[in-house]
Amino acid sequence: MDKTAAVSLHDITKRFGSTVANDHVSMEIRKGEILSLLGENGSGKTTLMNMLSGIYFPDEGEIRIGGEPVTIRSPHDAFACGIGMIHQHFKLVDVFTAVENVVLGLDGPLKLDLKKAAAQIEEICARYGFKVDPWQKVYDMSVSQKQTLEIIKVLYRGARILILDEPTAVLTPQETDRLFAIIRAMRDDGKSIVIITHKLNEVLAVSDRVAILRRGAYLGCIETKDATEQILTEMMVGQKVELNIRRTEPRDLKKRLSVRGLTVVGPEGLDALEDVSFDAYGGEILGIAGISGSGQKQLLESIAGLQKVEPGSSIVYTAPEDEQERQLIGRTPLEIRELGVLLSFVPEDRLGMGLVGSMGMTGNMLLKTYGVGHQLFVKEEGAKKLAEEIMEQLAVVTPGINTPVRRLSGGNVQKVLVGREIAAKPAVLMTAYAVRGLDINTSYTIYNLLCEQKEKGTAVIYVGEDLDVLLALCDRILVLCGGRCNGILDARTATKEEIGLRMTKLQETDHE
Amino acid sequence: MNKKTVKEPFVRIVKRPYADLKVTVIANAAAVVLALLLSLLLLMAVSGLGPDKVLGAFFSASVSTGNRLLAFLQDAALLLLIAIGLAPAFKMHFWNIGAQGQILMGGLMTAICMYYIKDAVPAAVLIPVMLISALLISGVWCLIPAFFKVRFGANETLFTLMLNYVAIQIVMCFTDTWKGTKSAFGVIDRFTGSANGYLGRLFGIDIGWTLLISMLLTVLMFIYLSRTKHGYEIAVVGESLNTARYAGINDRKVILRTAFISGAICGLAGFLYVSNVSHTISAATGGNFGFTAIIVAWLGAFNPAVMTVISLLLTFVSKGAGDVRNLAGLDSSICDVVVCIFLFFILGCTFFTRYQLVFRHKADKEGGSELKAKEAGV
Repeated sequence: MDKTAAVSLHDITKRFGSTVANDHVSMEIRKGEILSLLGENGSGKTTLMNMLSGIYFPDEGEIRIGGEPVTIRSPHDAFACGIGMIHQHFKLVDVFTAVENVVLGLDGPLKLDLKKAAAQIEEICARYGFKVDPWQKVYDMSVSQKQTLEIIKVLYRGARILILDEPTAVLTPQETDRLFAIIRAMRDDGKSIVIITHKLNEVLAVSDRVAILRRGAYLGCIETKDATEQILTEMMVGQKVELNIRRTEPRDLKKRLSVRGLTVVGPEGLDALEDVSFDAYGGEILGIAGISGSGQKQLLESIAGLQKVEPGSSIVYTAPEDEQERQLIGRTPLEIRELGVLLSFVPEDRLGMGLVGSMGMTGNMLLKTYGVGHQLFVKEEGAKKLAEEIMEQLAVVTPGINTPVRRLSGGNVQKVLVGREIAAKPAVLMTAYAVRGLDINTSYTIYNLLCEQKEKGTAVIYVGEDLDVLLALCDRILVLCGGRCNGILDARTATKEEIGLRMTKLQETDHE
Repeated sequence: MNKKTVKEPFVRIVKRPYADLKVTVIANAAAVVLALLLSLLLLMAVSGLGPDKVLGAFFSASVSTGNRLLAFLQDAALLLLIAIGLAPAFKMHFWNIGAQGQILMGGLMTAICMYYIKDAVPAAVLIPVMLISALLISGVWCLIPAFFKVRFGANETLFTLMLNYVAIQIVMCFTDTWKGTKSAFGVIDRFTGSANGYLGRLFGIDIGWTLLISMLLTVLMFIYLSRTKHGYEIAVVGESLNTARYAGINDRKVILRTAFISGAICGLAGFLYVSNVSHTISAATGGNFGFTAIIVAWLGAFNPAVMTVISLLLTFVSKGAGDVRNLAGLDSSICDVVVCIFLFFILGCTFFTRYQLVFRHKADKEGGSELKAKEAGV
């Protein structure tokens, strides 16, 4: 491997308002290497690379290409320096062909010579083993083909340094392998490749070196051959992380929710949920797995009284205080609450449903309780105390309890929401994608809060997407497939493969 | 390799970490001063008058005599009252731009009561009847689009706008019936031979009631929006319908209720026009205030205290420009131009309260250290 630097960054700093996205970052990208840029959400990976590709301009610091200082003010400048970035969200024109997309935005004579460009594209394809038809329209392409086209686009512009932002997020395992083969072929051709990612196994599989960012600061670079998942996690998070969840054996199970024949018609007139039946017990965590959009949202919102359900559906709640059964179907969220149902719900859309973004913590604590009593005015004292308690107990980072929650980071927003829902002392606690976008530490805080609730006898329903977490956290897992319940598995004995199969294929014989 | 060196940009725009009260006040004050300077220069240029005359006319328009002061306060109070009516609807993201029509319907209902009841009942009965019927009809005038919005998802912006023209036609129909099509309807007591239904003097001022009611409603609206359960519901519904439903708020009820209140307050302005201010009704009653009030509500960020300042300023400016125009015999459009200059500067200065400029050489030193100091301050 050639050890000379293709690009070097010196003291790069970028701020957004009071947030320091990159704090005096100095690093280098060598010729002919695959460099992984690793860091948690919000650690400044994409921001740093956006400064190389001309989307942002650094507040301070210097970028050198082959030792020469350069100023990159636009993607055009970046291409002139031989830098090309493949963004997470593709920037292609759907109704154009591959070749039209490739030449789009380039200077040149008035008359387009698409044939010549197509020939060049085919030459690039032959060189690296791509399979792309230059005359195919983009709307006919698969996600993986579009990504390949993005790579061709930057190679056509003469890029020697390629930056890929989370390239595997949208790919299947097979497509990922194919992409890695392409990346290695480009490396062997002398190009430098940067992969922005937070998936440790991919880092170890494909890269030569790993550079790690934490809260905008550059922590250093290690050779992949010296790295393990544990070392990388600790560097990324900044402290020893215990990557396990304290799952206790469920005790004292009491039926809290009994769902029978739940059917919901979705916006397109198709069944979003079809004849779903299950029970949720106090003292256990029931996981709900499924490809996104398999009816998870409708299931939780039906229980919360936010979803219109079809006749024949039944959701019965058994109150912990008197073991009385109450039908929830046909009631509004307010009626359900006035019935004495202790139901807490952490919805998927935190700021669009669970919280009011423009209000502070205090205002948000009032969301479900402002109407209590017959007085004309809102009573703020209790909410203020609760906000202070949650801020302290869950270590919410905010300038004050009246700062609009919209301005908090994703993890802190979620702490406010989960804190409020748990403070209501629920008998049933539903969470939808409770850790999406959160850093590792906050994720584990949330997992352990849920485990605590379970031990207190709450029936916890956890809708998740990471199968490893579902298997480690839950007691039973209900698998949804296209709006149908495709089996309820014991999380202690089930395997990832088994759940994965049930998520995609209905089991004909397996009905309770 | 392309070695063309490109310089760092001369100036960069950096978002401020938070709104700074001091900067906001200075920027707005500077905007008003600059707008005033530009307006005076423009007025001097088009009128050919000297700076002393233009300045004198501009500033004396609102304050030189008692009558002028009252005329100024009357316009400012009515403008503010209409904006106060719009504020709850806007805060709920219900774009009521039908204040014009709601004023007219409220005023018309007042006039109908006065015209047909005359002296049949004493004022103590007639005035409450006028007031309640005015509030009801104008509340309903805004409730109609709200109903169609919650029931069928109709666009309330277009709907409320269109109802303005319906209201104008209805008013013209009535005034034509009363007076005939040849000329406008005059002052009511000349037709009915009775001034029953006129709101009398208060504190020795003809328009005392108008001033008092505007001030009272400004205070009440401030409390309503910031302290009451209804105000909380309005804020949640305006932010996100999904959050409102999740919280158990009956969003349809809140929208209908708030729309009614919004329309009724605009109708109250119409009632004051007819019963206290001009004692007549025509399609032109309310002038442009129904639309100017939209600007007042927005510039004041739906905060009744700030809205008060804005309505005083806008009225002062348009009165001042109007007097210069009369003095020099200019076209009436000059008033609109001057008001627009003020709006341009006030709106433009929000750029400086939200962003700051960092210049090339200062970027490393001052821009950076200033920001760091602010961070430390948080």
